[in-house]
Amino acid sequence: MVTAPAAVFDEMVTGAGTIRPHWQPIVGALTALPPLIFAERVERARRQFQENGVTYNVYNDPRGVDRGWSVDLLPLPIPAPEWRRISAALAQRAQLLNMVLQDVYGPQRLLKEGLYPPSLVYGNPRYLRPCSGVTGGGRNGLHFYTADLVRAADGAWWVLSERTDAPSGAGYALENRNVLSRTLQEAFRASPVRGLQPFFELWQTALQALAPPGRDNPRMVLLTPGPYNETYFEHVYLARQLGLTLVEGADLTVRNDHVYLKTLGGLQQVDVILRRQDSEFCDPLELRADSSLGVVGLVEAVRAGNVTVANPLGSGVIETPALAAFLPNLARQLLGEDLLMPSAATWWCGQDSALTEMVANLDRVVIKPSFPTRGEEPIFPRTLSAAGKAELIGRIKALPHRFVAQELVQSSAMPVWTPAGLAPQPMVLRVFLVNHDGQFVAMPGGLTRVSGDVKKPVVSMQRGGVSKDTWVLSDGDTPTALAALATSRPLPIRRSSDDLPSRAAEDLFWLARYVERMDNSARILRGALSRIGAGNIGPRGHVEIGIATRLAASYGLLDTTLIGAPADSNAVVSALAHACGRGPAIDTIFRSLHRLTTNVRHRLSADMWNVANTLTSEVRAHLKHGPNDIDKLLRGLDLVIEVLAAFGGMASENMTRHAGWRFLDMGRRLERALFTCAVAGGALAAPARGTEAGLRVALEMCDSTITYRTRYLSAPQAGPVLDLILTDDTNPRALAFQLVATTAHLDALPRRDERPFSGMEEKLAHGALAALRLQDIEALGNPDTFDATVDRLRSLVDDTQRRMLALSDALTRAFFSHVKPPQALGYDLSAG
Amino acid sequence: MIYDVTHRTTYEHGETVDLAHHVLCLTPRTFEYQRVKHVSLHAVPGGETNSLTDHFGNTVTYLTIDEPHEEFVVELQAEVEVVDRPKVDLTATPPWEKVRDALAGDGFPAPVEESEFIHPTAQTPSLGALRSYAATSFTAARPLLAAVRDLTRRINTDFKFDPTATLVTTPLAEMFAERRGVCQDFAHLQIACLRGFGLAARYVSGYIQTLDKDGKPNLVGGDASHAWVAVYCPGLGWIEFDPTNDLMVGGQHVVLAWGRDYGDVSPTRGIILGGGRHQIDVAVRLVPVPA
Repeated sequence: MVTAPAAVFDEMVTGAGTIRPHWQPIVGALTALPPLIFAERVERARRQFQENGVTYNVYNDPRGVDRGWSVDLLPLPIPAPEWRRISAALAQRAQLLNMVLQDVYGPQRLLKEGLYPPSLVYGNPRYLRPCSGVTGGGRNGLHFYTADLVRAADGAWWVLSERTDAPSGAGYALENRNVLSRTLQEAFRASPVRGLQPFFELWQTALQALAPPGRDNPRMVLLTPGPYNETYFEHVYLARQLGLTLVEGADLTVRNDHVYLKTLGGLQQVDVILRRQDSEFCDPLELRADSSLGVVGLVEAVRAGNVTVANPLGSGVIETPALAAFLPNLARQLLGEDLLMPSAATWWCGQDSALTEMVANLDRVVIKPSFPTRGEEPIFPRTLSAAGKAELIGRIKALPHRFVAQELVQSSAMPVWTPAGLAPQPMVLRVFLVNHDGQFVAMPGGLTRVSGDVKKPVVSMQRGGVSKDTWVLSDGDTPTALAALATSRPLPIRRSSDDLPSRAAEDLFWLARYVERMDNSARILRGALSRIGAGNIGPRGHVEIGIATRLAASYGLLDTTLIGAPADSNAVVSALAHACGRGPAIDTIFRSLHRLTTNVRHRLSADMWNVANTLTSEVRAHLKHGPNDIDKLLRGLDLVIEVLAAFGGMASENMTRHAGWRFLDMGRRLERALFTCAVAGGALAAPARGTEAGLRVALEMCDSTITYRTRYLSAPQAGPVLDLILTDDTNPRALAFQLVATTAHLDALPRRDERPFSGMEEKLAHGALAALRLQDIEALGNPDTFDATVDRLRSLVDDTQRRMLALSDALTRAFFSHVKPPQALGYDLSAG
Repeated sequence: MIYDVTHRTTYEHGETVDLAHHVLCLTPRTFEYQRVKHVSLHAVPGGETNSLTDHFGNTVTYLTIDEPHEEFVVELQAEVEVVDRPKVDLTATPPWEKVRDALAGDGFPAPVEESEFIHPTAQTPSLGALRSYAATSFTAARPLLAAVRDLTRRINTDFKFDPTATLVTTPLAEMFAERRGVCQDFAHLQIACLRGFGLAARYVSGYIQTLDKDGKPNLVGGDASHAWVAVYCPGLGWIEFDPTNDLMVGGQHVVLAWGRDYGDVSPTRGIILGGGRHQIDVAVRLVPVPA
């Protein structure tokens, strides 16, 4: 086994202390920048990444799912001749692994001929037997491959690890380029940097070519495990770049061995799936039955040739680091060539000689599991005590085939900008290759990562690394990024994006309902607390607080036993205070808002996301931590209402009027209709029953006090107030306004049945609007007809509430849930 | 011996099932000791079906039912001819360590294909307690099949057949501690013991003939699906043992399928949408056909 030399290669400076030639334009441009300007650029880049929402989620991080993307401004430049060597070497390895993959799920000739150990397949949990005869070759060959490289002291590159299942990072690399090329314009212009865009265009073409024959205009999707995945940002970003619909398993269904996307417009056949979730989780029917992320029947659909999954299912089997020990021989046998780039020396402990060598060189290796599971860390024996080493050796000897020893390669030093100057840190370069028509083509760039901590031997974004742009330099044969920029193809004009998955429509609908319910709850609590906080509650105040507490109870904010309790009693005051920040009703709303905004994050603008984030973090904390201070709580409730107004404003001003927006708006309209009905019901029912106190509260809840005052210049009267909040369709708070908007949305939605009013939800909305329009509100002004009219209006609002709840169910049936949640069926062997 | 096999599985669902995907491992295999003369698989409601040969050579049928239903019935009817296995001199088999070493082969085992069955699985985990238990049978240089036969007998003696003790999901460690279970648990237990010693063992799914009223005791499992164990012995191939009945497998057993464990060859499994809670009823009949 060849091993890498010790000592360190410096990326920027030669042994003689001079700047390497390909670094000189960069260093020249950067040293020309005054330090303050440079610091400002660093800050600008950081802000840009934050604004673009670039995150990397870290598992088990108490700070939650989002960590900002850390970048360093200094790029890694790679000269053209060196890049040609790297890309040719990796194309060779990808080709080789593709052949191994095809053999694993095919004839297994390589195992039978003893070219690598069978237990790397048979003992490998990522070997998925249902994929036998399916994965490998043609459209089901390896599609995308990444390799992590380090450079040893002599300047040669070594492969540390390779990814073949669902490799990540290409999207981050592109985003790094987009931001950093602008931040460091001077240096970027001074170097002939190759552009990344052509690679993504090539990738898109390669994906299209994977479509089953005869599908000329294939529908392609990117399958993500969802917003809690560590690289979810990249899934969203790549889907946009490659023109794919971003879907989760629940968005897809298999019928008749074809895969369909569940959209608002019905089922749409899917031809190509770019897979970003681990194979094992992709089909609970044939792979892991406990997966809730999968698509039932996907393997069978692939088998039938009706859809292509890339990378093919089961391609994680060749990710085992143990394979590296056998690749040189496999290359000679399968390609008749030597490997152009070696792996870091690898010993698979399942062989006695390797085990012995591993024990003898314990301090010079890192121990990795042959079949890593999530969260399993590599072990550095040199950091262990003698007892620790003995224990490790014992563990390895018990199950030797489960372990791999890999030589520690001293990686090159890459300068990283710090406020104190440039500091060298160990570096890893990830390179991406796509299979285009049988040839593996490398993205001319990559994701360069430094450990972020000189003492940490492993470079990993999961462990808090920092990333960099990678500049592959052109030597004239290839177009540079600037040239590519100037000749970028004009995009065809489009008015809508892809079909909206039903699940996204559902999430948007419920997000809006919870936003509105939050606003309603804040208004109810503010109505009660502001009167209590003002002190000196008179008889009118007691009545008004009573009405507000009834409303609060109907919204689950207060216990119903408190209805009718004295308004200023300790029980009522402390229950109201509790309800603001800690009560179960508010807690449910906050948690639902957090979940739904996370789910639909990529459909919201960064500003809307920030607003939602402010609400569920800062405002929530404010309400939670001021339980006994009424003034502080009132400020918190004001904040809730203001922040939600900003959210609503952005939705109405910044979102295009696509189907997603319609569901967002319908959610708001429907929830507000329910609230207005509850408020009007409160003003009409005993004890208020049309009295001034009840009407005053109603106006306040519906944010219509000022309108009433300017319109009537008089104390509230039943007729004018109820007209304003129920039947006046020019008032955006009135019930009529909500119903008019809802019917308009329903009329505009895509439907399979073109007949008007064919859907139950249309019947319900139009019916509620017609019933409201037939009301004679002015009859409230006549004492003779007052009581009968109050009763009629009460039954109207009760009836409208019922219709609105039924409407929500009807929408769910018509647009959201094509299927019920899946469950596994077992077999009973109890008697056998 | 020729058998008429009838195996009916009925799922009664509490609520309507909108869509069902089933995988049926319900076609008896043809191999050197067994010939399938006739087979039919009938499902109600029916649907799109597709049959193929899986990784282990079993015939697997995929069935999708895309219509609402409250009940699902699948029935296998088959006529299977079984011949007696040749008599094996257990004591004339190689020492078990030699077989183990060949299957380890310093990373390159011989034979390769059989080595697939030396690895633990979720249902046949590698457990220290099992190793100690089996060690009594695997004394130094003991002929492989003599040791396996002894282990079969001990499992049958030490463990109690109890249909109420375990579920399909009960972990083997728990079953081992409680010392009771059904045929599938007995088979998993013996397989895990054998793999713990580096031997190749597989799980066989099938049926066993019930002997009737003329004084002979009914063999346990006669009216249900059955499961047992096969172990690889160089020169002889796969030799089958039935720990539930303390038997060498012979003319009384009908083989459906084999794999690494129950998970590979469950007669029926599936994913349904809707359905609520369900009840399952299994009826098996094995009737000898007069020659």
